[in-house]
Amino acid sequence: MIRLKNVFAAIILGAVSGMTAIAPTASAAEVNLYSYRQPFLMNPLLDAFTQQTGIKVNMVYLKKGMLERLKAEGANSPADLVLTADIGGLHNLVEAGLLQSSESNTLKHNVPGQFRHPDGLWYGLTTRARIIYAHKKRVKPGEVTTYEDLAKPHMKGRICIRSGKHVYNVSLLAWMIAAKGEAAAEAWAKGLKANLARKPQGNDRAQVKAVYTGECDVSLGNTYYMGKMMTNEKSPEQKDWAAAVNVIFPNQGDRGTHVNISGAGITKSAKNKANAVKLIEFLSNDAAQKIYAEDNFEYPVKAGVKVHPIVAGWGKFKAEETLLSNIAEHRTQATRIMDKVRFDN
Amino acid sequence: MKGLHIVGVSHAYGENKVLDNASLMIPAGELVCLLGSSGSGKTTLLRLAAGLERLQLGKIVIDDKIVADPEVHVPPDHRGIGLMFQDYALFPHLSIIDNVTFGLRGMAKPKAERRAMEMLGRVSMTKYAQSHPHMLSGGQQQRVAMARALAPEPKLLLLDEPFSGLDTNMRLHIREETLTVLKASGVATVMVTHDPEEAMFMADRIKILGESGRILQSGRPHDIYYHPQHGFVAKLFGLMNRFESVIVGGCVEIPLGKIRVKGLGEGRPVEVLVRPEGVILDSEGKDGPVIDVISTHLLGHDNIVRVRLSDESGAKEDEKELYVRAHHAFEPELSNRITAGVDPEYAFIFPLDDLGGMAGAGYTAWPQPHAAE
Amino acid sequence: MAPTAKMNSWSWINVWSIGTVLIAAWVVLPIVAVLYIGLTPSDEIWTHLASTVLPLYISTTLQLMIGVGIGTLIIGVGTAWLVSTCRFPGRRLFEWALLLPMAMPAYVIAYVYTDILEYAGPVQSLLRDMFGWTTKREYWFPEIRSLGGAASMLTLVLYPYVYLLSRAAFMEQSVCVLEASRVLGRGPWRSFFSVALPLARPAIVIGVSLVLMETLNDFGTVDFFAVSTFTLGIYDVWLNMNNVAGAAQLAGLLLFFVVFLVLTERFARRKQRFHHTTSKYKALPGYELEGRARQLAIIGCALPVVFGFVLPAAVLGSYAVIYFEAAANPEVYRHAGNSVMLSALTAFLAVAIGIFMAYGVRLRNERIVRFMARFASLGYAVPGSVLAVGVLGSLGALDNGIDGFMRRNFEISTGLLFSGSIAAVTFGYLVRFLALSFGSVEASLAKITPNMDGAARSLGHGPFSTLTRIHIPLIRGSALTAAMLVFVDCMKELPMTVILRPFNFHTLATYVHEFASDEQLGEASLAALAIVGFGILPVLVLSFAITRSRPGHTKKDQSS
Repeated sequence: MIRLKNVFAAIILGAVSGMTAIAPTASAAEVNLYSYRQPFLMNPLLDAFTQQTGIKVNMVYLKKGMLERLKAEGANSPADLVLTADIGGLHNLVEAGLLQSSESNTLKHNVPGQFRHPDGLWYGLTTRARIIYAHKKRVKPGEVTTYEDLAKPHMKGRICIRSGKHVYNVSLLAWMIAAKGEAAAEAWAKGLKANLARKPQGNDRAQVKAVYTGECDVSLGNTYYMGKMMTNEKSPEQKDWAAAVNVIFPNQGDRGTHVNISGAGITKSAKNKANAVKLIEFLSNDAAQKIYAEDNFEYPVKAGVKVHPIVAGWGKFKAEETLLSNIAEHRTQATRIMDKVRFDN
Repeated sequence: MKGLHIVGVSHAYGENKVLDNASLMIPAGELVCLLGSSGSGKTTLLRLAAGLERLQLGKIVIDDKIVADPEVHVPPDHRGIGLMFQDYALFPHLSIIDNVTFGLRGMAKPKAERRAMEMLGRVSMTKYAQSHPHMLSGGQQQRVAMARALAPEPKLLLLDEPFSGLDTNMRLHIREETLTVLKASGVATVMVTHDPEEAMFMADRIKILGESGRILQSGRPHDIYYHPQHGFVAKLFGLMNRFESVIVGGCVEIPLGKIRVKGLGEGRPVEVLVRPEGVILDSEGKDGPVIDVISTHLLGHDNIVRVRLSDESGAKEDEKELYVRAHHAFEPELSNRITAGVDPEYAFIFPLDDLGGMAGAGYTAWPQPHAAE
Repeated sequence: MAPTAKMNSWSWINVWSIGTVLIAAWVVLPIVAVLYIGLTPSDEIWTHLASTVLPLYISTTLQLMIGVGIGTLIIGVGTAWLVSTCRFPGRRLFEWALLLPMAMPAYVIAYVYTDILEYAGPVQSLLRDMFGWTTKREYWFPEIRSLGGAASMLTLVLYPYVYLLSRAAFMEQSVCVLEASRVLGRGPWRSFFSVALPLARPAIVIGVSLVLMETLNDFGTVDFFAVSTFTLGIYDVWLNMNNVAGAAQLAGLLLFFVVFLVLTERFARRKQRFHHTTSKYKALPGYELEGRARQLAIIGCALPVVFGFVLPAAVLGSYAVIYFEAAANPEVYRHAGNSVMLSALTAFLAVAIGIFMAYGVRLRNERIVRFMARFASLGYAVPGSVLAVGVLGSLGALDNGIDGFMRRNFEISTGLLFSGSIAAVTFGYLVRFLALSFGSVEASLAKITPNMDGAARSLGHGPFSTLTRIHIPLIRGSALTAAMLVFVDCMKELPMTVILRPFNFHTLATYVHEFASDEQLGEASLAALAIVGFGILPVLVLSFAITRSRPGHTKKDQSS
């Protein structure tokens, strides 16, 4: 029995001691990042940051469970900085008391007031609009100009969309609630659902593909996907998909198009706060903002940074930004409406 | 005292009580058979002695050393007891020689192998040393199991139904062989069996277990066969003819005749058990009740004959059919009138009531010669 | 006097039972943490769910379970019976090839089939070209992104569990029993249904219940196909309604449902415990198949392999060629190293712990020991991400507890020892997959008659020596099977790895996921192939081991 105990103890101790030391700790030249955004998007930016400052960036990419991980790790969490892909993520972190405020003149200067938290708990870095992709031939000009049009009877059987539970669509519906109230938003969701050509599925790109192949005539998607498809050398067929559709920025005649932001916030537990601030500052500076715009077709938050020529080609648009901070509050409601109208089924 | 001493052991599996205050003494150097029907707790006794079950109540002593009481539990690997299972439990992944050396821990390998070969030699299995168990017949496996159990020279050898897995021919043969090997090794042995004939054959001493591990009778095979102290014990050894009667004038009367009884008071209801060899058939047809032969079954030297008492015998309906052991030369066809009598030596009488708190202890009935007049 | 009256109520305490209970308690911790989270106050979700989507979640989940259950049962048992008792060309190939789909992650195969079968895919395009259709409304084609599609995908990759276990069971069946049945005038088919199947039932049930648990907590496939299962609902409540307590309550309900299923099955089987009646084995007879039967057997065995493995692997292979430059990232090798290291470590630990616990239960079959061991294998029934949250909670509490203690008493901060480390990931895997190893090891140990223990003990060997010299050699095949199952599952594991991993750490699965989540599997096709490739290796070893482990097959070779 003694032998058995020794064997087990040796294995477990060996494994544990070998494995635990890996977690990075606070040091002058590091910053630790929990990211909702995929590494292949962020790596060019982070590499540039390391090159410029000599600060190493450690990253974990995770969506589900990030909040819980930060909570469980508590004050000892190694994370200094969180990157999110939408306003909802930032809001939840604030609500959970996981972020701390930071003061930075650079950030105040780079990030316009409507794209940052009033107390500096988070800063927006890019924006994207949720727009309508319409088939060039099968959709006549003027047929669809607003989100509301999508719920009207003439669109029956012509719309493709990803899951109603996806964060982008939930944000859109939350925004509708903020703008027009719960009842109107529910009626809209119901109308939209009634017009779908197929069960919600796939991602935003897959919807454009469906328009291209004739399964439907219009779809909803984020702006940057259009740019990515138009320039996709690895999968050239995506260029054809993009070529088949026009982009329509909805509600230009009234309140403007729904936009969302990606952003960053510093955690309460940050051990490398100065480095974290440096990283956010870097991401809001011209060089990084340009990379966001050029590589990922997003709209930079910093004034004066040029968007990608393709994006520029769509022209300027009127964005509804004032309701942005309200979106997060209405997300639960929005999710419930999606359930109620059985959007995905 | 050398040997195995089990004192006041009670044992239950959940709600199911299998042993109740069982006590047992097995002196060293003897081959003792525990004979009992299923449910008598005989296997549990073995497992307790070996340490495979944890003792709940009582005490187990081996060679004056307490190996189990409610506080002490010497694990089986420290008891120095050999154990042989009904299914032999040979290790299927080990060769025969490895099976036998398995118990020779701490012995240098060459020495262990020499010893193992010697043991295999005793059971005539040396040429199978490199085989694996599944390649052997049941009898061969039994021999290997025996060699394996004896190899470490245990203080005590426990055998659990060692022959039950064998067919009849094989059983007789292996039984003899086993007896020879055991006698040669001189180890104290406890063997559990439900087969009375086997117990008679093997044992120096037989202990008969009743329900919950109670010892009903203990003694040499001859004593047990000829002087059963309990109806149950008497019935264990083969067929019995059973009658109920009452003691009148120091005698008990059954359809086959009268038997004198000692030690039981007047008027007490009794059970009379007569072995088939205790029923004497008379083909001259002189005395006693007339019988009809229903069938005869040849059993080698003897016949078992099923007979039926005639209606005039006055026997109760359920006591009319009898089993009789008769010489093989007995030929009922040659005779037109056969009568039956009883040999009191083979008749056992036990009280049916529980007067005097003696019930179940077994009464000794002393049948008188020529009691049937 | 009842003998139990004087029995010491603490008599179960010894190294094995304490060890078993402690290990089990450690593994149970995250499950308890999940249930605990469910108890924290939160928005009430049940009225809303019950009046809207809950009935749908439940009916969809049940339909999916029934579909996958029946599908895997028919394919798994049918092919296992064919290859273990019939003789036909290609049988030896199918013996191991039928296991291959096990290496294929469900989310990968779902992606591949969507590519092939959706409206824009090659199949429908070809049909349109052939018949001159131009729009979707002109013809009917089964929708891949549907309940049926999800059931098909899961069936294709999960049937090997049933195949594996029922094949092992068929091979262990004593030929005498089957022959007895034949002699009693039953044909091969009747023998199958009346003898072989009932005898193999415990193994088949284990296989199907593993499949059903995998189905219950699958997220990748149902999410991709937008099939509203209960698990999808859990994620919805958690992430979109930002209500982790509600999600934990739903997960608790799911767990309750699984426990109910398991208990029902156990109850139905309570009288059916059999050890094998004979230790005599010989090679199964093998019905020589002729003509139509032979063709059908070949097709029946080939289809699952082709659709579950060959086709998707070929598609991945073609992506890998097309995207070679993007896919042949040197980092893939490092990720592969991580995957293999983690999976191998977990497989070893899971089997070691599984053996320890199963042997602990065998030595001291006390209620508490048994209960803890069973409880510890529930992790398999909890959706990965939810369980990961439980792991986070318990490890975080432990780490911060240690840190607090050290700070108070020694003014040293230990920080997080386990959270966010590879140890955390390994622990998560163990919690999740212990059921696999414990289940197989326990079932295998149960087949060893207790007399073996008795014989070894009475021959002077202690419990540990008995374990290493008797039990472990005897259950070697099953232990190996368990190790391989855990290994393959760890290679494919995604949600827990994502949540628990340290900084800058990838496995092949997380790497594939990163691209697949953006529907760019092409760029990760090489990594996806690597998952499959590394998965195949143990599958082959496994198959080989099973054939060799059959009693009566190897021993003669050894002794000659």
